[in-house]
Amino acid sequence: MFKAYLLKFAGILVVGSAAGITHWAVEPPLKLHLDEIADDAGTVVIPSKPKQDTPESASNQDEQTQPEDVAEPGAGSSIVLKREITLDQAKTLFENNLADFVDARPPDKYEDGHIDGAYSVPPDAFYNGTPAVIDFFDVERPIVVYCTGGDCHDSHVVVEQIMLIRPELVRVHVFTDGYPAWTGAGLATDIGPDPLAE
Amino acid sequence: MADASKLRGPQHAGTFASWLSLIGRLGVGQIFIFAGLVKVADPAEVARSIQAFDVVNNDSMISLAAYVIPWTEILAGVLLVAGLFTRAAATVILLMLAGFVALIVNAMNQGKELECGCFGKIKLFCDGPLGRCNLIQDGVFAALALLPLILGGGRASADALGKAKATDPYADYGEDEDEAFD
Repeated sequence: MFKAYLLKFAGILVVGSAAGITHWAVEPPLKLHLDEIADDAGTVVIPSKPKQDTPESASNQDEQTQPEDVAEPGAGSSIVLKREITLDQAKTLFENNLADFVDARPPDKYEDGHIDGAYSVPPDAFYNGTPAVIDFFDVERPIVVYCTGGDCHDSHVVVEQIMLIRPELVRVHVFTDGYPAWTGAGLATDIGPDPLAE
Repeated sequence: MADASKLRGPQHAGTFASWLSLIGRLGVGQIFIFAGLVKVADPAEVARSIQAFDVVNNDSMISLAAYVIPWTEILAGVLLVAGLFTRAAATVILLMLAGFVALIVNAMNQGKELECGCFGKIKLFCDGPLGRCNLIQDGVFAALALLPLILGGGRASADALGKAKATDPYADYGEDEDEAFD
């Protein structure tokens, strides 16, 4: 009977949902977002830019081609960073040397190319203890963790691990758009293994 | 060509259609059991996958779906492997596959490069971002699920055993059109 078929169909959905809801009810809530950072902890003071004498910057000045989306903060200006930061914010931190960058992608992808100066700390690195670099992070200095953008959550996992191991490190951020956005913007990259891994 | 509805009974247990149904049931059923178990073990990963599709914005709904989807997959998979409520279980699986395909197509249209959360973090059939491979994969699963839906429980199914006990094994199965949906 078609009615019996419909009842069985509905029964499967009901029992499956009941099992799922029961499991959901007994488990602790899933953490879908990192805790938001306090405004004072997220505030970064951008120093005034020193006179740039490099040939590259000189040519930039000649061409007057400073992109509009690049923050060019004045002396003592500041930006307030949320837990997740944008490409522009990551770029500002990088260009002013205000943050340490952490690459949460697998080591082979790191070796193929990474943000210049970034450390390689994939989630797997925490399985065998604390990665050495975690001990050297400065409490006052922001840490920017990135992976491949999109639905890559390795950076979130690494941020959670860092804050679990060293709770005093609160200025830890996720660069949401990740490495593809960085290379897409033509920003500085490097290749090769992490020097700390050797 | 034999009428498929008349091949459901245990008297036809050795027929080609009966074997086809068994292959479909075991193939897609085991895959769904595996996929469900992998997801149940790591609901946070499932939730993040759902979140990445950006079709549901409510965190509670996402969390709930992260538990309900895997358990429904497991239940439908177990029923299909056992051949119990075969057609209903196959329908549930087909509807889930239709939903997955819609999500994949939506993500592809939006140019999103998402990883498939089909088997948690395990890349069973397709590697890399969601794309044509995943559509083909789901198409194959749907084809397998269609076999028991059309042909019924077939060989070694609880449905067929139930029929054998309840009625004369040589009765004319499927004479009633509606019975095809039992």
